[in-house]
Amino acid sequence: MTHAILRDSNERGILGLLLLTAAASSCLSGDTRPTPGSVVLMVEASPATRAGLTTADGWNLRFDRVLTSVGDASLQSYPDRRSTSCNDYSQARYERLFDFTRLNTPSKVGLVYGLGGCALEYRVRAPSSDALIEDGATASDLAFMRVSGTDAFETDQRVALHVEGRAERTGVVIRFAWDFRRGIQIANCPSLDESTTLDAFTLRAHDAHTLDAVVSPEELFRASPDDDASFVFDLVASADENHDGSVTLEELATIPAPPSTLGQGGGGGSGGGPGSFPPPTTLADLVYDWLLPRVSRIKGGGPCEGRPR
Amino acid sequence: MRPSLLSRALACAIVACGLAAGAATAHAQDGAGSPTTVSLVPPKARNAFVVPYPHGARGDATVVLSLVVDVDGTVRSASVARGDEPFATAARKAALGFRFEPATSGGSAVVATLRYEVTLVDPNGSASASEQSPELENDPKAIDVTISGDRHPPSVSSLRRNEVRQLPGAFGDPFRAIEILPGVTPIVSGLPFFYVRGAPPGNVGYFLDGVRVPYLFHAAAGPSVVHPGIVDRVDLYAGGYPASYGRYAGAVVAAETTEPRTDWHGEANIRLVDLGALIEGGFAKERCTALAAGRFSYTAAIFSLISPDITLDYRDFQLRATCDVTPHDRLSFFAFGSFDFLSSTTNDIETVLFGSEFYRADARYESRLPKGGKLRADIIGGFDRTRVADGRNTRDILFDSRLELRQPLSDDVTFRAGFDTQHDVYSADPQLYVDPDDPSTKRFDALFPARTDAALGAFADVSWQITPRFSVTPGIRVDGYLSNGAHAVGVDPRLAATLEVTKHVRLLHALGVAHQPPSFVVPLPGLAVANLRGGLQTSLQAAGGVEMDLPLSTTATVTAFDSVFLDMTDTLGLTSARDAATQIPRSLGGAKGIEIYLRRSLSSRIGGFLSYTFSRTTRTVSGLTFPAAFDRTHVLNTAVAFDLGRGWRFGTRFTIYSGAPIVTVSNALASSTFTAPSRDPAFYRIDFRLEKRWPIAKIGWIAFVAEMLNATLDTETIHGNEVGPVSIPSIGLEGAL
Repeated sequence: MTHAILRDSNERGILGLLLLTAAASSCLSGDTRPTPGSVVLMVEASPATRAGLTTADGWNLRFDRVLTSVGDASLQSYPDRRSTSCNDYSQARYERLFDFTRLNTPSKVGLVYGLGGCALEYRVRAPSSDALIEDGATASDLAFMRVSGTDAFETDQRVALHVEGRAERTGVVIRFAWDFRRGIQIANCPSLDESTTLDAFTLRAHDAHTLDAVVSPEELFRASPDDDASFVFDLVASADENHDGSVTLEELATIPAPPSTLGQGGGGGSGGGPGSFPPPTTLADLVYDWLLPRVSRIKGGGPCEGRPR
Repeated sequence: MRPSLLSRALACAIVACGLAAGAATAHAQDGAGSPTTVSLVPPKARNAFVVPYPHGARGDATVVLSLVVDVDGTVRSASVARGDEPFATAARKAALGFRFEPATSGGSAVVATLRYEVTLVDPNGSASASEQSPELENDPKAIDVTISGDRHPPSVSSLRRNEVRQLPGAFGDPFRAIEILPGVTPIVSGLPFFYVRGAPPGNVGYFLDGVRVPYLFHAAAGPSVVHPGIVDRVDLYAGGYPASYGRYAGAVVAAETTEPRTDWHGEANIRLVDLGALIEGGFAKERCTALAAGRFSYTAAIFSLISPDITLDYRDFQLRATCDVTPHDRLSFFAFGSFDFLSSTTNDIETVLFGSEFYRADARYESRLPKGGKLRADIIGGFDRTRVADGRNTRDILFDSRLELRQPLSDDVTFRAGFDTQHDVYSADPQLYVDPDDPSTKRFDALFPARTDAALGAFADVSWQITPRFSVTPGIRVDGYLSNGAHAVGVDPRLAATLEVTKHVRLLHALGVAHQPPSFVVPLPGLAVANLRGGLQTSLQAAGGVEMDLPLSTTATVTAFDSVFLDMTDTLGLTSARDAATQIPRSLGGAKGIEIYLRRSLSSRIGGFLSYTFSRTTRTVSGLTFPAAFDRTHVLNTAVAFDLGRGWRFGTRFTIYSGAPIVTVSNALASSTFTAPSRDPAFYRIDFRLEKRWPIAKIGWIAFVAEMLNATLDTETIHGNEVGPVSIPSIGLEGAL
């Protein structure tokens, strides 16, 4: 009896049930997100990278190699990084390896998409194995920079920046070839007058922004981490204790930091916070901790916040 | 390196063959595949069957019925193979009330199909008709009996739904219960991705009624993608599997659906997160059946209360129709599909975090051949789609076919052969919002380009009962692969042997070679590695063991295994998380160990099991051998279930396993002595299940079920990172008519 009831009712409704069951399954839609805006990050070398400069103390500074990889461009919420003001659609998590002494025109770093209040961040860092090799750089440069090593500041890290050059004054030539094993994340880049943030956008549909970054190795020769400070080389030259005409980072560590930098906050941030460093006690401290984060910024702007990565 | 490994595998094969040859002189028996042999016990009638003579009918009649006898002895379905009305209907209805002692295979109850001849004698046609009851007692004789479960090859572990229903932590899903089987090593507790005898998740193939499916579970940790009520049995072939299975170098999980039933029946369940239902019955004078089932989650509504920005959704459906067009021929159509979706919404913009779906339609013809033979032909269409990270969908439109013949050649020899084809058309949406220069994007596109892949395979094996106690099943499979212009061929010999030492002790051996194209981290719909880059993966699998029937209907199995994987693509175990999606490194893999499986049906009044695996899994890269990333030395599962009476049933399960080594290929290569890395701490968990069942007027039941996976909220450490606790509670109602 029960079976009969079930059979009668279900036979009548079976077609509807089959259709209902099939309809219960959905189809995965395509990308329904609204059209985003985009930001292209470009990079170029500072004029001094290619042409050199004359320091305030009379040295003619020239760069032979400035090897670093720039990349990992991404969008973060702005102004509050922890907020959800930015919908980042994609990031460009790769790097390009340049020799900036041979980079004559601005070159692409990465392309990102998003909507809302966003700020662009990027890194100057050791290249990944799949980093794109750009102007002036070679596969052997990539291999060289991917060799891990240890110095007084970093342990078991690859080379993030290789700066090689010379300074000449009245017939005296001092060479330098420094490997920095600390990557820097560049963010919060103000305009020169600090009235605006150059790397922040309100991205709307179809917006297409271009942001030009610049790599300025001469920043390593500032007297102090300040845009108003002069470029100097006397202190570096004085580190050539063995008079071999070449100054190493180890030799810089034997020279006390100039008094003007003592007690200042800077580098990766003011004292006490993550990525901050104590006031420099040696010239190597000044260069590694305080001047290295200034190597890249947005073109035409002030120094960015450079956090060790 | 390879010659020595091949030599090792060959030596292993020779040893096993030697064991088998020695066994032949000991008069063992059993083999794989033939439907009826002396090792199988057919169903027996519990009492004389009563078939009421139909009112108003006249004359004698004979009706031939096809009965499917379930593992509990009830008649799951009855259909008329031959006979006229109204006798046919009367016989079929009466047969639904028959009760049998179930068929057994190796001491375990199995489903059996019987063809019964029933003779109804007109009570008024007899000289003493007035003295006869209108109900005529018959003792029908079986014309032939087919044990649906077959005899399993030595390499298989099987789970039946009626048992799994009682397994704590499995939520009634046969697929989820796979993790308790010996040889299975979990990656993370609660997640149904696992290594099988050292083979990674990407090397494990999933089949439902012979139809390949990309995965078995919704939303990774969710329920299975088919309604449990349609699953009759799940087999895990951990290695050395039958020649009919190919293109997977690790293991095969094969689920068989229930036999079609002509009596209208159904079941339903409602839980905290989803509801499911199944209904099935016969029509067209019971020659045809129809089934509809599905599961629908309302997690989206629940999440909206907890986290409005998160949407989690899953659903599935199954539709099946069968028709016995003649007493020997059946046409069937089986369609099923699954949908999963996880997204987050920020600023009213929904971003899909995970989305995938697959659908299959299988048109099948089955024919019963003389002498117990069977022919099956399938044409299968399918559609797979997955949302990948850059907001686009990848898809696969597939078209498969399969022809399989099983024919007993004599009482001792059964021949099986067939061929199958696969045809996959892969494509992807264009990339809209990504940097085209990004190397990972290029790698992904190179790994999964739009293309057409094809595979053609042929297989054959012979189950030969050499003596009453000894049988062997040699087989071979040959597959050709085409992918984006690249091609490869795999030749896979297989050998299984069973020796019955005594009535209760059997020796089991399985050997095999298996090939597989490069595989992805985990199987996902519409994502398959292209171009056969690096060539096929090859596995050499050997296992030998002993199976014993113990008192109290308990069975124990002890198995030793040794597997070698050449050119293995174990991405999950070798690379960092950043590269896992786009880098497919090759390695030499090895796995060896011992498995112990002691079981008594969980559906017994007091049932339980103990499953223990002691193993070592290694990878070799650049000549350096180190433990695989998910090598777990000890894995122990044990459970017990009690019938407390008055419809109450309680079960608990305890799981414990060793921590995984903290190792990746990069840090392994950094040290030439990296053979004993530090390991994560061991993990254990306890699951519970409590059920109260009420009968409904002798035609069904309804039950309240409370269940919890990881009831003690233990956290797990995976490669130094604490995960969880992954605990899954479930409260619901189940019922069946």
